[in-house]
Amino acid sequence: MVALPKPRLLAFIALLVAVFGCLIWFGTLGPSPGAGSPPGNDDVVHAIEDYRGDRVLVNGPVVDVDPLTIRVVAQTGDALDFYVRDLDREIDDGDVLSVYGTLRSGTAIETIDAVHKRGGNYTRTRLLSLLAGLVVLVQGVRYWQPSVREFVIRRRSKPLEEECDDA
Amino acid sequence: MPDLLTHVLLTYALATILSGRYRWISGGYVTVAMAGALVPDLNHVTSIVPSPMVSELLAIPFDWGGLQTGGVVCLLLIAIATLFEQSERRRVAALLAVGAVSHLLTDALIRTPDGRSQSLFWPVTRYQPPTPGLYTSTDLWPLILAACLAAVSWYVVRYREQNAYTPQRRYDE
Repeated sequence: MVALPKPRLLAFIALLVAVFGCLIWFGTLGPSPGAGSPPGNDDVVHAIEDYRGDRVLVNGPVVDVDPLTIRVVAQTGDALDFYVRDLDREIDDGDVLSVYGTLRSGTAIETIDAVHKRGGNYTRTRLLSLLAGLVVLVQGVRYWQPSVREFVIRRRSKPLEEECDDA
Repeated sequence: MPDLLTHVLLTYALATILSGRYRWISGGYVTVAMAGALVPDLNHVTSIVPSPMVSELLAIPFDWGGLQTGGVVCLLLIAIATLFEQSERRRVAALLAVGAVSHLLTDALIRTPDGRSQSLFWPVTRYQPPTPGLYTSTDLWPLILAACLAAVSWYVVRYREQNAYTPQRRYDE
């Protein structure tokens, strides 16, 4: 039985624990408009009254164009529809809007600026990202060989296809 | 952010250009750089395991968004480098960093409604620098540009080298 390299394994685990700790820390952070991090979807959906009159940055799919309305969804799945005012652009249902503006009465946002993306573009982006992952995975297997038992990744002496040809 | 394919192609171009100067950067190391370009987008795991689900399960605050910050990306790169043999670790860490940094920098150029990019320097600071807003995350032209750069770099560095008369280059040089 091959003994696992304990110091390296411990270092790897310690680093992952550090990453996890940072993600917990990041989860405690609230909005910080002064640092360029205004209230977002999660903040506004769960505590809209706390941000009345403040500048917020929300995004979501367009659910109505007259009046222009976007559905802002928090990570919990809770959602609120917001009316987007003062935005003069050609927008269709299903498009995605990111809006930076002032939260007014009810669920109205007075737009300062917005970024508009066509709805179908997200599907294309996801497919391209999936392709990228596959390309890197295939190239990774070509040049590198993981050993689960020894918990190590080794460089192949030659690309996988040449190793197969030799065999 | 631009799609991952844009990041990967851009990193391929960068690493291939670097391989013209640093001969040890073979195809395997270019691949490592490309893998580094994927690291900042690991936060997309939130689509499968949302942050609130983890928070509720463990009864602690939690946000995958931290995976896109400079500090957490650094920790991840070091963790990944520990998976490699000691003789490879320094080179692997360097190439992973090439990929990750290129990803973070190209993300910092994306157009946002408030004109600010991400918390690149967290946990040192939460400051989100202004962005020049060159493109949106779903624009196609960055992908086209990255593909052209990848093709040109491949031709100039790899193709011409492989087709010129040179003494046999050792694979593990």
